[in-house]
Amino acid sequence: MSQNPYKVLGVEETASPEEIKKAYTDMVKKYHPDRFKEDYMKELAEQKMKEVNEAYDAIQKGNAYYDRSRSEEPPRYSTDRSARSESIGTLRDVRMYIHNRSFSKAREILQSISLRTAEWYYLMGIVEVNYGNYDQGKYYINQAVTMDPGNAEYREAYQQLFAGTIFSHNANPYRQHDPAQACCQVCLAAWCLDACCECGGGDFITCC
Amino acid sequence: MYGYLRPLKSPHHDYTLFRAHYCCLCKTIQSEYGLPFRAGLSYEMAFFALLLNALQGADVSIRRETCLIHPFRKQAVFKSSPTMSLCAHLNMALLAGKLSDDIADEERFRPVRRIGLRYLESRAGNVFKGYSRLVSDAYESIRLLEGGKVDDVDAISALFGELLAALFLEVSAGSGLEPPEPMIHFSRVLGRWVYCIDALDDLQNDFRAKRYNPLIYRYKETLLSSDSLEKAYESIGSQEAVRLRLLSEHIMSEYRLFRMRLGLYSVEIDDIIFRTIPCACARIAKKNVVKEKK
Repeated sequence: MSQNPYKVLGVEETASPEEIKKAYTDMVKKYHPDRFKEDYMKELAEQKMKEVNEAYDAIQKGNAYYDRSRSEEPPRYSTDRSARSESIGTLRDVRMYIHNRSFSKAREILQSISLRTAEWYYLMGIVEVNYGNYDQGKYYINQAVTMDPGNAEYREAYQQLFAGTIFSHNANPYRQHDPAQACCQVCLAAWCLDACCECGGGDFITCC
Repeated sequence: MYGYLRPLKSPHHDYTLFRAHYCCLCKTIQSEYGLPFRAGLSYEMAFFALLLNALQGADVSIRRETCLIHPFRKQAVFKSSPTMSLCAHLNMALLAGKLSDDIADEERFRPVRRIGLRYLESRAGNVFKGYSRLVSDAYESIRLLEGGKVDDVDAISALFGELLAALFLEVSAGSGLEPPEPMIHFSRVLGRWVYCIDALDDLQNDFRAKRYNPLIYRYKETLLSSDSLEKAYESIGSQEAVRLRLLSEHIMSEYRLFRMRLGLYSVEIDDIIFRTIPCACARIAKKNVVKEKK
């Protein structure tokens, strides 16, 4: 299957068999096709149930294999200091390639690095976003933020890219200022000022 | 076909260049393919022609003519050129691709669409056939993904982006132009954007008509678990707005890299890139919310 089965069931990879079973039963209750009346919803529910069943079976059989190339690869850590410093040097090169917009070269180098640090996830996310693969990019940058929550650059990138504001409601730059409405507002303001505060410069409207 | 890439109505501009390109393409289509096919002209193609002429540095030569739709008031028409003719053929090749896709997908108007497609192919020349091959190959790949009920919006929109980039390269080569690298990438991202915004625009209709739309499968949990369909549409709209925003920012940044080459034409193209695109995103993303409030 192409997705992480634990993610499909909404549980942690360290979850106990009881927790997994409970998550599975909850999912079955929530998405069972019999709950839906319309044919199209039934079809969607059937598809979802298929995913849930496959995920549960994969975990039960203990072969929770999924296509890691897609997006769900768990982070790998290394305690080898020399590998880590070598990786830092290469990642600096990757930053340079990204800066020069050589995204294919940057991706190629990143794919050859086995040590996946927060920086690796961040740079891979930037590369994927530049390729237009936003879902992948979001996953990678989120992973970088999770691994290194104190890093302001990762957090800001995530905020700016994926949690940014949506377009404004009235995004028409040619929205006209209505002169009639403006005139009414000016008259109303003048009348209020005149009525409430006669000392505000004299009684302009003598009848009130 | 889509109609997202056109200038906004403005009291300050009349967009003569854009309108002149549209009218020129319309007249070229009439002379090459016949009167009814004028209805198949898209705003996107007028934008495409404008961009190509800008890159070529074509002289701005406009004449005023009447036509069937404007019999009394003369309209601005750009001068005919080989580039405009190539764009007209390309528009028809895309229309043929859309017609055959609709024939495969929908029962409605199938005989009419078949007649239209057959007539179009009977009048086709070598240029049309070359473009048509590219278009039908891309539609075939898209149909394969659609058949597999793929939920990866990025993957499926990438196919459309690649199609647009390939067509752009083909037309550029035909008119003896070597496009700058950012321009190719720009057309790729623009293709993605058109696919994504169209998918979001059609979401409700596709769901009702039980047609394939990648967003239905991408957000099946939202559709199944929301209290009402309106709430689900609203949630999908706000999530997809992020993708649309990223795509439009991407389009703008690529555009800035070759904008200086566009000369006089850049005034109207700027308007489409920096105003029309964000406004279209806002309109489509908020479509569901506005409807609910009404």
